[in-house]
Amino acid sequence: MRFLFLGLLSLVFSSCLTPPDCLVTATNRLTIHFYKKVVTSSRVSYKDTAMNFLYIKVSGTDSIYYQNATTALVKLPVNTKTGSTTFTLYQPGKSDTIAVTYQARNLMISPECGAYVYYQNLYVPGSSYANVVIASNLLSTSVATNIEVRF
Amino acid sequence: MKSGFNILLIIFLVCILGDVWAQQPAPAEISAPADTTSRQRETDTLKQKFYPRAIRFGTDILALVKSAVVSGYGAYELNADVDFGKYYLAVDRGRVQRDYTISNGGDYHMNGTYWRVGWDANLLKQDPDRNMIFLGIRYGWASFQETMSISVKDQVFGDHIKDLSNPNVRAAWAELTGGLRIRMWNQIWMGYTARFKFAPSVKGSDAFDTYEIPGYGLRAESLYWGFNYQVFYKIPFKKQK
Repeated sequence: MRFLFLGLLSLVFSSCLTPPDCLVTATNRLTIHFYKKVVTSSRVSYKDTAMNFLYIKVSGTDSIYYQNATTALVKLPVNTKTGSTTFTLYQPGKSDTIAVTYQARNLMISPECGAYVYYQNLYVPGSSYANVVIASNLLSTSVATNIEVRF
Repeated sequence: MKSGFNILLIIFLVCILGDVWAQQPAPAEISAPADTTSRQRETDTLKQKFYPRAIRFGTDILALVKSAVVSGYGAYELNADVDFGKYYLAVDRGRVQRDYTISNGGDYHMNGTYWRVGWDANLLKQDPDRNMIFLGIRYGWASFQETMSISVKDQVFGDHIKDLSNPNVRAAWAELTGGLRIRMWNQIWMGYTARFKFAPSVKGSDAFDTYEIPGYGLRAESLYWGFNYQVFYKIPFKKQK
């Protein structure tokens, strides 16, 4: 019996505290995708459509994004110090706004991997676009689209 | 490393089962006349009479060694079990303090206490020293506080530090246990307890996700292995009836 007891001592030194995998997908970039409504005789569909932007402004910063750019997809930063951000998208002859709110989820993956803030529960309380759909309410590098603007 | 540990554990359990089966009486012994040896009469007594025979107090040596060796770690665990014959009432109480420096900036601090209560069933039947190979169950709970500071890198809105606190976190979980208690000398027992922990639940971690639960381990793991290496001192209540 005592031999069994001593023989199992090696188990004591087996590590049980295996840290989680270091997979970091945290980002504060929100992806907006623009789609144009296509009506055929049989059905209605949406096709991604490039937009001409003079520039895009983000509340809380003086930085300008997508100046004189033509794109169907924009990635814009949300304010990491507040729970809401408003985007103003300037096009020739008009401007539109999209306001978003979100919640921060703070977590440490492991001491070696680091601690990060994930922004989740994305919501659009107001927009000048008529049809705005939330495709994913989590801001993540693995998410292709957060908001779809359909027109 | 984890799969290697699991393989070792399976070998360990197979050894235990083999040992237990080896202790089962042979068919010839079962059909023996009622006038059997005193050792078999002792077995019957253990099964039938459920009363407290002794209490053992102990501590987890691993926690103490780890506290001395690992920086940012401090813990102790006190153990007690009451011998009711075949079954033992087990109670554990521990305290854990953890400090981590986070690689991308900031730090994490946790401290709190935990309890475990449950029963062990001694699988050994014919051991005059009252050694144990046991299987058991536990219910564990913990109350603790944790703080964390996160360094947020943001080129647009500016880098900043978030100081977060979960002042009153409560957690609970369940365990299946197995192990050994061996009488080493006089009233001194030593032993191992392997713990298969599962079903953790946490309340009160509002500011950030709990990283580590005292007595359980990493919150992100829904199944967890634990191991204690313990020393006990036994105090008999009275002479065996």
